[in-house]
Amino acid sequence: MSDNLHEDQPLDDVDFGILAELNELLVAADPPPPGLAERVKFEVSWAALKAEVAQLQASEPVGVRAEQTYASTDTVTFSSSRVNLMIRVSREPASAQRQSMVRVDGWLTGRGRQVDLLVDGQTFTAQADSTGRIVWAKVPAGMAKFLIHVDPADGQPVITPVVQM
Amino acid sequence: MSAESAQCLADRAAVAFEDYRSGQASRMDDLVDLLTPLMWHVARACRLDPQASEDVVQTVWLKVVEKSESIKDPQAIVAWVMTATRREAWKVAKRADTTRPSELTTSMEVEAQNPIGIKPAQDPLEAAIRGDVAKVLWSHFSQLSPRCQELLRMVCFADRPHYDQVATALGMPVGSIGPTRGRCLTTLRAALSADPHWSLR
Repeated sequence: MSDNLHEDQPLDDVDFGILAELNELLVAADPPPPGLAERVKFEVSWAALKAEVAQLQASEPVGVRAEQTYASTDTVTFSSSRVNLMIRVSREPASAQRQSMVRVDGWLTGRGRQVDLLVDGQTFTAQADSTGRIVWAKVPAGMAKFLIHVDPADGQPVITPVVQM
Repeated sequence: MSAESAQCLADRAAVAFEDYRSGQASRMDDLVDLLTPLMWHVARACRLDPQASEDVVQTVWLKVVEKSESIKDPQAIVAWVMTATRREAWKVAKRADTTRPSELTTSMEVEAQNPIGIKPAQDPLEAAIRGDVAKVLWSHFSQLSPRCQELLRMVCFADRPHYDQVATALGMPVGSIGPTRGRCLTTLRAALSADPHWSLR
């Protein structure tokens, strides 16, 4: 058989067989480390979120008219081993309202997760969409913390430290 | 429609990438699941140790996200990823001496003595034969030039009709493999054929 073997011949079943055996050997003897794909997904979703926030912040107009638009923004990031949450707080300018309200835009890793915003003795629940975006359109300003329901089946939410909104 | 999976890896990856680019962010997860093993083996084929290979895979995935808009043809995502992984692997290998060519050989010798394979062996004799065959294959494979080892190690993870595209993506000369056998596979096959301890299952 090997007498007529030449590199210019088309690949045949024996060749495919050798490559398949090589593949099997490597799959068994040298697999990717467990959890590599999961770690990559986490890093990738985090990078995508940061890019989106950076883009938003870059597009903020310079020199806004305070009486017509949100006067200031703050971005806070919470990182944990199971989930990351980035929030952007936009304060409404001083108005006739007794209590100042804020808008909170959030981005978190994972999809469709539920987050409770606790502020002013109240709980405001919102749900992230499939890309991890979440919004609380109008909540009271004040000392706030977030309960992130990472996995509803698990029962153990991730709780953020308190932040001043 | 054959009994095997209807779509090869390259096609499934292309669809996932196209979906991701048209706004389905969750399809990136599927793409990561599809291509991470391939990228791992490309990095390992460049003789990086496991930790360095893992770092390379992570780095390249961040590049995929960063440059996703500039990859014109979704069909090219596999070739793009293989090229990027190989480039990053060689960059890392040059920067720090992280190559351990003997590492896999050692683990393979262990495997040959205690063969696992993918399917559980029902017949201990069959398992022993499989182990011997793998050992013989690996010993001849290890005799190939580093360049040939790199080529075949990457090509064996490619889908059948795309071997030549893989070779091109890896910067190998036309004719290295696909649609013809090429020099590297010829050398390996000749060595295997001449070895009485080897046979194709």
